[in-house]
Amino acid sequence: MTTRTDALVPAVPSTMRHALLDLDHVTKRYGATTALDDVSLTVSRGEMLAVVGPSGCGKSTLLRTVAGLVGVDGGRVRLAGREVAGPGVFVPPEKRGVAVVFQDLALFPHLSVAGNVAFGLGRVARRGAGERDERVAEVLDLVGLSHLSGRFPHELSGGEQQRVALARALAPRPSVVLLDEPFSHLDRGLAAHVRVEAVAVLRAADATVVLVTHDQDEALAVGDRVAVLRSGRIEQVGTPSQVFHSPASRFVATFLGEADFVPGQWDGASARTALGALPVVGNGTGPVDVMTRPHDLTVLAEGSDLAADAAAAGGAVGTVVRTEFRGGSVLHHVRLADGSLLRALAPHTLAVPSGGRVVVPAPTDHALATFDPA
Amino acid sequence: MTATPGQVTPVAGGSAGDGGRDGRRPRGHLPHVSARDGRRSWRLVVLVVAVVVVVPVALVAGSLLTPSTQVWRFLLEVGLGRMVVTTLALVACVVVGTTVLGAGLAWLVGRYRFPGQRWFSWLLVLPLAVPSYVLGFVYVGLLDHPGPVQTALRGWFGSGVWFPDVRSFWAAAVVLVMAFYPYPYLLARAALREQSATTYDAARVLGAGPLVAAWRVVLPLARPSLAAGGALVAMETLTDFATVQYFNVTTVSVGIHQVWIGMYDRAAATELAGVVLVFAVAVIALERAARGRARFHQQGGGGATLEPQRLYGRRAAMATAGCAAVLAVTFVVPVAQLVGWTSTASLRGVGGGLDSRYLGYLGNSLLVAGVVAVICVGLGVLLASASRLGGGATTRRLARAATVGYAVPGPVVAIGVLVVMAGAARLLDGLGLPLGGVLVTGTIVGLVYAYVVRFLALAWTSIDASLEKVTPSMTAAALSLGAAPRRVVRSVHLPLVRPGVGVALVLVAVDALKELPIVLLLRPFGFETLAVWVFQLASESRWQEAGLPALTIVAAALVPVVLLFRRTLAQPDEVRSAPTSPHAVAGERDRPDPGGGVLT
Repeated sequence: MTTRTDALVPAVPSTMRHALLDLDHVTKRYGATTALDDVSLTVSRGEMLAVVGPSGCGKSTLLRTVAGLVGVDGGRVRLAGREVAGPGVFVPPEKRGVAVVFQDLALFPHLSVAGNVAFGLGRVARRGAGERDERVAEVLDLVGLSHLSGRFPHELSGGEQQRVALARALAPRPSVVLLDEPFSHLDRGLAAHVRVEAVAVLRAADATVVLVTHDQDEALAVGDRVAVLRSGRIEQVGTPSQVFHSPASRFVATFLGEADFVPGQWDGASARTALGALPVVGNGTGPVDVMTRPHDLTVLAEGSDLAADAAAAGGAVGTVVRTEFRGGSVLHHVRLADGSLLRALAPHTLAVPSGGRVVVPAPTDHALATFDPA
Repeated sequence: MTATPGQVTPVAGGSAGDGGRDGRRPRGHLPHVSARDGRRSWRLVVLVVAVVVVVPVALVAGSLLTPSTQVWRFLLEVGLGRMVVTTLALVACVVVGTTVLGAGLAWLVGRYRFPGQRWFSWLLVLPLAVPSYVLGFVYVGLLDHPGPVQTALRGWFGSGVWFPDVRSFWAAAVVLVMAFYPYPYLLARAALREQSATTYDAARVLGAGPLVAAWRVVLPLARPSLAAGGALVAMETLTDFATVQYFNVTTVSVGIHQVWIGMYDRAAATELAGVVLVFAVAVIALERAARGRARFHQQGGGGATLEPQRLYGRRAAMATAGCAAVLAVTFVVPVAQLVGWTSTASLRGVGGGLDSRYLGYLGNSLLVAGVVAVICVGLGVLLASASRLGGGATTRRLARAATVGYAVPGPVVAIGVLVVMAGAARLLDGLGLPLGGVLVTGTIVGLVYAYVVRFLALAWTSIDASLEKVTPSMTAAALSLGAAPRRVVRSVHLPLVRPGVGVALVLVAVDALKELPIVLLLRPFGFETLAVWVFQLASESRWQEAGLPALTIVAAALVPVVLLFRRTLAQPDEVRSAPTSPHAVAGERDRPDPGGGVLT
């Protein structure tokens, strides 16, 4: 697939990777509710930004302000250096050159696949039929649907419809492609497959992408960077590994994955906790909470040699309260001697049933995130 | 601008404003200055249509707020009090009667299987094609003293045989029940079809017997539909002043007709129209109250509706006979009698075979119907598209305001238009254009205006229902693919609403063709339509001559009834778009924000 991209890439030198989309202190209100509260973000050319947050956090509004489907009440939106929304300025959606792939795909049911893809290429009179057909063929080829160009949307499978929507969005060479939860209408297995395909197509087209989703895993898997949105405000923007491993807030920590907060005391560059001395990010004095994720921890059944070693090395002793089977591993809810609850993953071969006594060894292989005690 | 590639952390606080960057714009991309989301011109279109439609009704309402003691003294003298009592009693009787009959039939046909059940399911709406002013005169002709029934009875039992007074309040109520029961029937039928079996099953599993479950779950869930049906019937009853005049029943609407046509007293007619409007508002308020705050939307359970129960033996025979009897009395007998009268009229040569006036009046009817249908559908498409392109709750509310005419009794609309036209005439006179008088009484402008006010909702409902297929994101997708609003309407909206447009044209044309009260009040002098002709002949007891024009109207009205309901009663989903339920469109169209928002 990637061999064909040269024809699709807009004529922009690859060195010019500057901010293509720029949201500058954008605020949007609906009546009394503030959907976007002073949001600033940039997206570079060719970048994929995943915007993630719980429902009602304003992520769809963010996308709609970029597309021009709603205006802004404060701040500015710039596309390729051109102000498209701001005080006294509003460029309507049809003049923004921004493509949107909607959650329901919004394919035109009365047009064939080719008709849908050609829709954004304007009327024949303006471009010439040849050029237009060429572009349609090119994009359909990119998504691998050339053989279905005469079909109508209802004659396609969910995955194929998805690819038509993508092709239709890419055909007019938009400056930015916005994806509004485009995989959420597919069932889980198919969604993952279609997502991989879609990302490959978007990468091949060197598209600049903003993906809006409520699915943390999707955001972390797709985004070059991830922006976490909550109640209309940006909590954190960073690479997937940054936001996952060094969350800027407890909200980000818990939203992006399972997290527990172990209370402890600063001890220079480490923290003393019920799990022993833990390597942490930063240093300080006084009380501190250390974030652990289940995969950071494991359990060892008391009585084994390993458990004895771990206990000797400062591991904490606790009781399994509850287990959840997760296939290859089992999630253990463990109550420690001090009463605090932790979650730890162990391979299914080493699972300990509820009520069993376990040792949780101190995680030492990487520095853990810290938070001020709540 | 300053490009900051890569990491950008959220910047707290601070105001937007790097100042002074409003100079050059890229070519061909003139931003809409000071327009925010949405588009002014589209919203303006909706606003103008809404104003044009609402003004006549508002003027009538306004006249109530500025009452003239002289006019009211006059109205009380001519018996306003009695009219009000008669109107209230008639509306109450007809609403109760139609609801019991309509909902009962819906229950029978929807919950049980018996011979002919499938056929009756849609045949029972056929009376919709027989206007009440036709049904009324047929039964007066049949049952009145000189009619065939009483003549036969006298032949058997002697001249002293007792027969109830045909020209009476109760006879009028019965005829209106027969004419209007299909409205509650349709809505109750739709409500039963929409109810998923799971609710009923849940009640049964929780220990309720079949009757208890029906009483406590099925009926309450159907309540909004029953309320809507009752409201619709009440509006029709308030609108009618032709049928009840056969029966010498004087409602407030009859008063309007008499005061305007008999005395050309516009002030009095306006005040009376105001009284009818008060009734209409009360009906709507009652309907809202009856519907309650509950939403009655059902979750899930798609497809699985209540399983009908098979009837056997005598009970099945009774069900079949009951449905057949209703159909016979409300449709078969009247149509047969019309056919009979038409043929005897031509046999005896009354009016010399085909009355030469027939074609002329038919032409007038078709002209009005055609013009009104085209205007209504045009405005309907405009409204439906504009409320999608213009965005915003205000636009949607305005679009809905433009459909107010359907919830306002015909005489109110007619008198309101009369007031508007009179104002326009004064304005033209003031400008030195002596066309004013001609405009009011000499052309069908007023008539068409009133019909548009009255039937716009009908067109809009049907078009909007088919535009439901166009999701908001489809419009948004077309826009962000670079299509200008006009191209969105042409390339996306119109192709998808074409079926709805066809249906709307037929519905509006037929309703305009058979409409009577408005045309009686607003027709230019000497301008006759089929409906007017039927009414005049029937008022003079010339049944035979009225047969042909009445039959023509019934035949035309049968077209949409057969086309629509035969199909919709077989497809539960489309019952909502039935023309008889303007309330069905009142639902919000806002998409809820999807997504689970799982906090781990």
